[in-house]
Amino acid sequence: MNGFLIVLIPALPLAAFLINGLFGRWLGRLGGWIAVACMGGSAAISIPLFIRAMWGGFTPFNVTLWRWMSNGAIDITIGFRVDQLTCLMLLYVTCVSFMVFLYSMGYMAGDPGFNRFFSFLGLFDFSMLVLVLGDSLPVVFIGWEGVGLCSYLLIGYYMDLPGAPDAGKKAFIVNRIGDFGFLVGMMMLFAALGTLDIQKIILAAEQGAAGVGPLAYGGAFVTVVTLALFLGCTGKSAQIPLFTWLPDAMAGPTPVSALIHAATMVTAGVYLVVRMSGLFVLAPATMTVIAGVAAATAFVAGSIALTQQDIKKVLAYSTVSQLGFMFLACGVGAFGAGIFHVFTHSFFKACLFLGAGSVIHAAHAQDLDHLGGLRKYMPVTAWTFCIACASIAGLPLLAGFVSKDEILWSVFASGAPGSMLLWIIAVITALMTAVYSFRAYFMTFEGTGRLSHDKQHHAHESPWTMTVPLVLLAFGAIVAGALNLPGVFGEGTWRGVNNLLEPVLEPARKVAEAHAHEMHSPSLELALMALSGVIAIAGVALAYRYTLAKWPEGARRLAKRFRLLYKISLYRWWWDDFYMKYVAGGTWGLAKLATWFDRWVIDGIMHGIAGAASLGSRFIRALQNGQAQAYVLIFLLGANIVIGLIIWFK
Amino acid sequence: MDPKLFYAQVVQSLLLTSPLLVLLGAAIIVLAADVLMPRGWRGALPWISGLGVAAALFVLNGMGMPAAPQHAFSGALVLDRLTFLADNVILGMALYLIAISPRWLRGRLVPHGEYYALLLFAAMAMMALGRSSELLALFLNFELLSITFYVLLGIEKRNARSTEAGFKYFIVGSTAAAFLLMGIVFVYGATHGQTRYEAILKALFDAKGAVQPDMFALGMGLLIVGFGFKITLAPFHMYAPDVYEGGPTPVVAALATGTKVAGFTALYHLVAMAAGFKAIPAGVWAAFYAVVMTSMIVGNVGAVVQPNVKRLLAYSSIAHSGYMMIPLVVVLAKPGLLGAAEDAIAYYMLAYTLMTLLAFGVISALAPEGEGPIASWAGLGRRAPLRAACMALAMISLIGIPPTVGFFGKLYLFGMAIEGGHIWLAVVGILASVVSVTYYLRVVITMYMAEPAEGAEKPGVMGDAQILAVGLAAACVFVFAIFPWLYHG
Amino acid sequence: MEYMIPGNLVVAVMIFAIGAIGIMWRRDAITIFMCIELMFNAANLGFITLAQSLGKPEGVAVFLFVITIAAAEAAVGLALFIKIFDDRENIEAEKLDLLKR
Repeated sequence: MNGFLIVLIPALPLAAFLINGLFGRWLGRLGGWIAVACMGGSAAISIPLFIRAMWGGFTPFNVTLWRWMSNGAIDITIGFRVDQLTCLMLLYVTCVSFMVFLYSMGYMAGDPGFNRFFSFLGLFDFSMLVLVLGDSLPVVFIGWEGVGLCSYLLIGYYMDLPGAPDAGKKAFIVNRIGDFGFLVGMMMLFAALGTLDIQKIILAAEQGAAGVGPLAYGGAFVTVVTLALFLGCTGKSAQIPLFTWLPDAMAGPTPVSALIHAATMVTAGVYLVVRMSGLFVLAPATMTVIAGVAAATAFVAGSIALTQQDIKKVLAYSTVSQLGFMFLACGVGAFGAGIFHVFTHSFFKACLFLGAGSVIHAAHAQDLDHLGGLRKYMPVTAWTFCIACASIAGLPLLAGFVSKDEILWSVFASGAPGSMLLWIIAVITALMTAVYSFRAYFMTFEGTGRLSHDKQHHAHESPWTMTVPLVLLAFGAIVAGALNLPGVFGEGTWRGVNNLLEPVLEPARKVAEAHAHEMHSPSLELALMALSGVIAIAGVALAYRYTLAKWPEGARRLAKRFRLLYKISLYRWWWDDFYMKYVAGGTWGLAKLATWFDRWVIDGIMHGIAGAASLGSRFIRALQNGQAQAYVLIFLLGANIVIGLIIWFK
Repeated sequence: MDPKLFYAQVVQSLLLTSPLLVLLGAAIIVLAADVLMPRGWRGALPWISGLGVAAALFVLNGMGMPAAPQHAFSGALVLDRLTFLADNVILGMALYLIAISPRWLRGRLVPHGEYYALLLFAAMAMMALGRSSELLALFLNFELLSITFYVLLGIEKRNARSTEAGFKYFIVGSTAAAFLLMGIVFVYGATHGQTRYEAILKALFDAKGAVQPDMFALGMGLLIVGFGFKITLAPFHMYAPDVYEGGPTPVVAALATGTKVAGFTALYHLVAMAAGFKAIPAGVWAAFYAVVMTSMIVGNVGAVVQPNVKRLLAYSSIAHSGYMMIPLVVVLAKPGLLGAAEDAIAYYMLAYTLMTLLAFGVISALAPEGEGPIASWAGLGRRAPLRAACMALAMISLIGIPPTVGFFGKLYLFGMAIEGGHIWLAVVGILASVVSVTYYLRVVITMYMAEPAEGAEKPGVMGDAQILAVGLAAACVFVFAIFPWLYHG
Repeated sequence: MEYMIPGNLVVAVMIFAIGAIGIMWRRDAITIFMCIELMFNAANLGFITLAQSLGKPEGVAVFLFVITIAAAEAAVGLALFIKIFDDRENIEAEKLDLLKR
């Protein structure tokens, strides 16, 4: 696999962006097909790459594109790093993007901004692939900012929809806070190591594990750096405390929600943690924070998803919750499990979102209370949605089951501080996952139709451009788990992803082995696996009971009995209100203080400087009297000073 | 000398200087065409000139970037990496100016043939000055460039301001030329009659110490005085604001960019020759240091209350010359950093040329109303959005905000200062840049925030070539920031 | 190898200084220009002196170049002066101050 093909992977979406951005007006629908073809090309390169990484002979390599800045102290080359982790990320990013591009051909048909939409999508994919491929933190950061930019652009895509511009703004501000953390972490690393090349940082981290260099195990420096980087991740990947932007981001078109806000961009944080795993394991305090934050996020978001009425909001909180699972895995040191969940999640969550989009497309409604009984109108959408729900709920043997069970077992067995508590929270969240996902499925596709009459009349199956991606993604949601079967089935060939990532995660594993005591007990693992299967089935049963069998009285009674819990969930733990009231209020107070400081201290200094500058400026202006001879005079004075200096210093 | 060898050397020299000869030929064709063609065909003149410059660019890049310095005419001229890049920048500038000129010339009393021919001569003189590697050639090319500009600045008939600008440039320029010549005399005497840089270098580091160090230092001091005029270093800058205000806008653009590119290239060769010589660190170094500091301070402070946009750019150019001198000050004492200094200067001359040309292009597109006080630009963001956006971009790049060429250029320069151990140069430079934010942003704020005066009209439309040129320059402000290797490999 | 600085070089520097001072003092543009010529010729004198004392006769040729350049400058300069005279009937340097501040 040569460098040219690797460069082509991000270059093709960039071409799609340029073609649609510049010539979209004249291309029309053809522009969309070109974008689909470009994305298909990227996927066609990524799939054999992954196959070679997985089963063939593969050695990681670097593709150096050009030297961006080189000036002694600053030396940044733009380059790509292709290793096993990259291959895995490339595989699912390009494949899911391809499906979403194809799907958008149907979903966005007839939209006035059709080509604008595809150009943004192309730019997004370009940035995302740069993020994944980048071999140094600045390159990753370019991608990181790029995906953020596209995300805001696409959230605010429906400019006249109430709330869309605000949602875009919110995403922007919240992500800014996170990016600040990323930047701080990056600068600290640069100050300490003098490099931002990821491989070199990991090398320094390995030395740090051995007690050499600035990155000592458990040291304050490495803790602060990793915390700063993790702050960046909480912004991009919607974790507590920065998760509130993601549900609002659902104001964007549904394919965007599927691609950016479920499958790819939001997993960038997880990717960063896994990429820097060798660094993160050096800071056990950070790891504990990650695990705690992740468990809390998973639980809170899962509980909110239980009662949301908007089908996209349910899926959005579900995404936040699942991201919590991924970070939880990272927090207990099971980076492979975390990234594998990223992988499977991308399939079933994209499938769920695209299914929801198909429903919205057909029924023009997204409130669960007004949906129902749609299966007979749109069977393909219903079946694929059902499969994806089963996968996320963790019904045995589906992809979601395999990856989630691995996380649960890793948490249980990790021996990390408070691992039992984390495990219990995770199990409860897993139960909630099954409940909310099947609640959404039952209320949308089963039971009596609650659509208004004329809308029901229009309900129909979507065109092939939309159903084909659904079927393919559903297929992925079933079989993707086979790439990484649980450890009890042997450490052999079928433990694919873990084996694949072994070289990337090796530095982290070495540190973990030296400091933590992992549990090995195949029988216990099997028992817990059975338990998670039972939990998933129980969740589905609960959902069935309250959304179909005893609808709507049962659900109402339940809500009444657990009024407080219901309220907490329905009002999203008052998280947004808290932000509005206290954080915004506190910011205001801080702003007042800052204003005072600004007025009396900064302004004083600035006025001093500005006064001096403008005084000097007036003086210089006055010297400029328009007399050529005066200019010669000053010229000669300058010459005399130069000569004088030379004689003086002789 | 063997006549065969001699002719081979002459041919080789002519080949090396072929881009200059192409320009020379084009200028003569333009002059002839102006006389011979019917009056109605005058619109062809910019096309002929543009073709000439394009041919020169083609010839230059056909030769490719020289791996090692190549000498022409017994070492009088040199073609090396820096001059190759400078030549490209100068020719690009010439193309840009030719593209923006027709619209600017409309309705002005300017003899077109002479104007375009002199622009080509000026470009040729700039390339020649940058390539000088012998003291006498240096003086000749220095004067060739000056004389071209005396004429070009005063070329507008019935415009007392244009004439006055030419006059002032003439008086100060001639004085500077005399100083340069005196400097050459001293260096000549100090090195026992050497004029070629290579020979001087050899003499300087000759173990026998045959060089008069004091005399040599004085000579270098006088040379920097002469160059101070050419590249507008304070306190040799006094003419600049007046000349920039009064001169024809495209000519001033050439004066602000190409002249400096040529001047810095020539000065770099001079400094590279003397760097590390034992007499340098004390005296000459102090003089360089003082000049750089004054330029950065005077340029930036002087611009703060300046209400005229062209005068503002004059101060800005003084300040940027100060920044661009930093690598030269550094290498004077640390010849080990010569390569890095060459990179930094090469990049910054491109960056500075791009953003300054962009600004002057916009000014010329707003002529004649836009050439005066900044206040007349109020509300331009709505009246002429493309021009306002380009001007804002130029200002942002001049401030040095990423991801523009201005940012990376400054990063290189201040990085050099820090690496060379001259923290104070970097500190003053950065503080001066902070001051510069006030006046550059003032332009942007006037364009976008201020209400236009009563009866302010929409400025006249731009010509196609003008739009193309300005748009390309604007794009390049980003392109060369992101892909610097497109420029210097 | 030490050598004495030739006396004529000192004369050259003095003429140079006289020229420089003259530029600032004289009103008439023509006289100012003559002062500039004085400076050029001071440098020429320096060149010839040094060429003589260093035993490098080819150095004398330099002054030919300088004279030529000075002549070109004079041509352009006089053209400018005529243009100024056309505009305002005098060529006093200090009255040319349309451009200032």
